Amino acid sequence: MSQPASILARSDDRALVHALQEGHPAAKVELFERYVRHVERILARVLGHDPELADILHEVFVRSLSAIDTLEDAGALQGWLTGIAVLTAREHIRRRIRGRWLRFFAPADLPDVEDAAPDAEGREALRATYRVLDRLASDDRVAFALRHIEGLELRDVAAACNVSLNTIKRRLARAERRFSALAAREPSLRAWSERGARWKRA
Amino acid sequence: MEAGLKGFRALGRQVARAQDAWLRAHPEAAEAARQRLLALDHEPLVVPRRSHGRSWGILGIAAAAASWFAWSVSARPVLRFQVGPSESGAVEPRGGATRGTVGDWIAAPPEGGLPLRFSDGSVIRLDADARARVAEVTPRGARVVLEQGTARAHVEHRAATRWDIEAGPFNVRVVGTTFEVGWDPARDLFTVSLEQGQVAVQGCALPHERLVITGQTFQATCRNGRIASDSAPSEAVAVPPVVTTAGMAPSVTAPVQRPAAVSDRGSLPAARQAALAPASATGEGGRSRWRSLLARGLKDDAVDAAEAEGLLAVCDGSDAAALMDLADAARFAGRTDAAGIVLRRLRERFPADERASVAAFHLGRMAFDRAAYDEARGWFAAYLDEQPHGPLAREASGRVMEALERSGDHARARDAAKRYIEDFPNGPHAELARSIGRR
Repeated sequence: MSQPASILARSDDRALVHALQEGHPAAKVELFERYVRHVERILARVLGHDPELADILHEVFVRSLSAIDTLEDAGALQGWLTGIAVLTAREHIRRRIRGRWLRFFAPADLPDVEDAAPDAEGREALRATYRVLDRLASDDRVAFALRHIEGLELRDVAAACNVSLNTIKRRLARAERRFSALAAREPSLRAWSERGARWKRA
Repeated sequence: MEAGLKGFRALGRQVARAQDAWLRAHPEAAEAARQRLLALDHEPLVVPRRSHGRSWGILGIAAAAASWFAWSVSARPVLRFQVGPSESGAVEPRGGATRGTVGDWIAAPPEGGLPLRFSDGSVIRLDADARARVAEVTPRGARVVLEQGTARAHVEHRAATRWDIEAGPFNVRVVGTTFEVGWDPARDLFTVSLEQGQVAVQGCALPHERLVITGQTFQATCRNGRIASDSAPSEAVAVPPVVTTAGMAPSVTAPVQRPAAVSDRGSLPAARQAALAPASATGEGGRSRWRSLLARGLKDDAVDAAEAEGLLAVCDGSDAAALMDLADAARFAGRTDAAGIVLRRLRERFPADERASVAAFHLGRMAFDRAAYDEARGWFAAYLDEQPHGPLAREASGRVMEALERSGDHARARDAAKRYIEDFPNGPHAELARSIGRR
């Protein structure tokens, strides 16, 4: 209970979870510092650029801290956080879809990737990819983003979505078909689409 | 199929690289989330333990979601407090303590003191015969009204802490400190003594916010609108380092010129003016503190520092670019009041600067977010007047239309929609514009 923060920083996930469940005051900060990049990346993969990223990130950690007592396998902390991040992101997508008719972003909210993305092709690929993903069902979108953008293994995608391997395979197949069809209408993705077709023919 | 997967993965890798670069270049989201999470230190986040089932199954996540929704629906977590003699720091009543109720008057018995313990660890101990009430509790602090007597306060500093203690016509704004405050209505005498930290006093005849720091005692009376005495030392002093929570970088120490002489006299200023006026005279070191905090990404702390220095003074001593930076920090930190003040001041001081128009746009967005649609429409229209072909003109046009629609002015909304479609047929508001046009 009285572990100093410096010890927590050197502890493994099991010790951290134990400290969180015991209510150690420094454990919350350590959890955040240890996993903020991972959670932020998962959210970005699923959502694309989102002006509410800070709120969603915060929400993931609040949910995690609220439910930390339900985590029985302390060694599975990262996967558990990934699941909560995916759940939170999916809910956010659904809220976003419901409010789409009245929700518009100012330029300040739109992806400002010029200063960060390494090349014009990458920038446009980023934008176009999420334009296409915006048109997929949220479950399919999540599966596609985790598998192909984050690069998770199928079983990890299934675990993050809390569904069976077969279910995630079905979602992924559906997402890939739809993505391919929509990508063909995106000039910046046409090259990718055609390249994929060439590989298919090979 | 495997060949097709290669295409997806190659695209995915490129997208991931672009995203990672963007995330590295924009750490603001993580920083904002960090500060908000730290601000929840006081809020217990506990879900009852389930003895069976998968560790992160649906029920567990649903419980977490329910807990989160309860938290969010209750207008964000607020502090709780207990009243009583218990020395336990727990929030739950025990040892004779009772759960405190906002708005109730609390009177310490003649024979001894009475502590008010808050869930963030702050304690306000009323001395014998003192009377007070907790007028408001927020996620960041509380507002306590001391009707009479003396109270000793220890306020825990956390990110974006905001405590106010009102004593008679004076208000003590606290960031994180230990001090004693007293109000004697019979003698019309206000006293505040700082054991540690700093507070800002405003109200009554003080022409502007008065900073009181470690070791100082400040006394004042409001009788006839005059300050009667002040025992603040005359030396320039350094602001003690702000106590930070684990995981946060320590704040800088910056020299601050001593508060203005006590002989400041005059008529009772408007409360708003007092709140905005400079805390110190012309301390350049003090004025730059918010900038150094902002440069380190500590937006909330930077806004706190700017407010402590006096927002008007900061606004009057900064150029348009700095003001926009400060306004952005305030907006990003959710400090819309401060952002509004800075943006308006920016427009007043630099009307010809393009940032003045951007300020109008931001003011419009802030008004829109709080559902003040008429005001929002006015700001967006101001932007369009000033920058009819500016980079935000398309969004401002859409927002004007949307604000009109939401405020129930459907006829003008249809006109605005028609103009929008003419000007921006493929704009982000085009779908809504067509929808409005069909009604």
